[in-house]
Amino acid sequence: MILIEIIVGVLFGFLIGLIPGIHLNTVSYFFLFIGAYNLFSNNSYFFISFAVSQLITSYISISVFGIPGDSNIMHLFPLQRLAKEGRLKTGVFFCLIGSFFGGVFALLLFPILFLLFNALFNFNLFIYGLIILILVMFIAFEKSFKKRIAVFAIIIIVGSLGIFTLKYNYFLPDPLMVCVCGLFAFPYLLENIFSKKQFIKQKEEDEEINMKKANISSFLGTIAALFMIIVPSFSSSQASLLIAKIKRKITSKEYLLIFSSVAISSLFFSFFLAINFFKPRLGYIAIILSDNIIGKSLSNFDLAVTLFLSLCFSILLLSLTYKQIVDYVCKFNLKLISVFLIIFIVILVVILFGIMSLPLLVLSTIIGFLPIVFGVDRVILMSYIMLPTILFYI
Amino acid sequence: MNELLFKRIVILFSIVGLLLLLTHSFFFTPKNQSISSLYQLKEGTVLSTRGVIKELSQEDNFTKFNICEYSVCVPAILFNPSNNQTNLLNDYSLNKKQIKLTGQYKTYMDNPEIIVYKIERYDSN
Repeated sequence: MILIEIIVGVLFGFLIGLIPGIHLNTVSYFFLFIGAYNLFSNNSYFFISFAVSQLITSYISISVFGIPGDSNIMHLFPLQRLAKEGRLKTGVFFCLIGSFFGGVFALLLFPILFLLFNALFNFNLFIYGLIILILVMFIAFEKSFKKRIAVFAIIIIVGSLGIFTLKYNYFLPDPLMVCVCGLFAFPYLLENIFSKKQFIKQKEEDEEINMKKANISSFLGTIAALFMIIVPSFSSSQASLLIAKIKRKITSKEYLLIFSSVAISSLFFSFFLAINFFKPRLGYIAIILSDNIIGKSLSNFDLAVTLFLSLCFSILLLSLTYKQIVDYVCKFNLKLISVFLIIFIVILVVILFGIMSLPLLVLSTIIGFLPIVFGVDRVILMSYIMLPTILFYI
Repeated sequence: MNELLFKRIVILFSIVGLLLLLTHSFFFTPKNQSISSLYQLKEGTVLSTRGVIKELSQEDNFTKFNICEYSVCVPAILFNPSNNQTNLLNDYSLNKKQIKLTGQYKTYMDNPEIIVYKIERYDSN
């Protein structure tokens, strides 16, 4: 029965992961709504494998459609770079390698996390300083004074949006999905519609990768996730961001290895903390934890085996299909897909969050265009989560 | 390492994972125990038992009750119960129907108790 639950979870996660713009939190609300939590006698295995599979499969929808979630925003830019060079398949392959080794390292580091969490939890000054450091790095790494001013202004604008929406829930009770779509997805999709861009044929490459390098990058990602998971409100994107800023001269492929490792490790660590300390770090886990779907019924061994099998099955499934999926999607007209996706997301947002979410979607889309207009790195849009996190500790 | 080698590594790891799961489910399935024989168990044993709920009381984040077989009762505690579980417990407690529970046998200040993992409807047929 456990194995069936895991396999069903992986398959379901695979299907949902292919749909762009669907966040794990949205799915969990949907599950609650339809009563899907009563499907299995012990739901833990299904929901754990679903989350793992959805995260891994979403690399395809991110790379092809350019719509990230909050845990994998950082993948967007290197994957898009590779897509422009016709090397998207290589990009997805590197994400799979990073996820696999990152996941294995994360499982091995569970005991260290247990000790670290007991020692460092509530060490707020460390958290606060780290976020400030990243924000200063955003500004300092720009070359011209004009661009530094632009970055500073964008950080303030995006951060204010984050404070109003995430801290004070000014527009909506759950604004994350709406703002992520507006800030990250819509500017990219609108750009696709109004530019002459088309899907280019993606090359078939038999990429050789140095095993040692892959392991080092994945391990680095897991270590970053290990420290970041201790920090409340810190997402895997922020962990990735820190590495990206510290380790500046790395290739797109190394970025992908590290980011994938951070994303999967954070997910694994979140489940571990939820079960052992009742401290969920992801909305999805918080929802299933509050409904007692995962919890005391799951031992650490059960958790580790479930995560491990879900990881292996998901990667196996995706490695067998990703080339065909990328080829299939790339046959479509990019403009048409972008229009379809915009309509799809708008409908989804209205259904899930009501008509009043549309002004917020428009506002965040306008703000999402600012980095494109000023020609600065779009990574600074992450201030949307970072500034509210700082205020959380004041 | 190329894609073929990577796939082989993943398949190998999948097999190892399956073997781990098989071994675990073979050795660590909950023991079926009647309530009267619970006191003979070692502390920490994961068990599955059935009985009638008595003295149900709900606190902020846990629910306490006694699970009884005739006159023999053992205290049980369920942390962070969901609405479904609370409704199920209330219903079965009021109607004095048998319920099946899975949990861990513990002693708290020398008194035995069951930390409940899962509760299910028990159909004697």
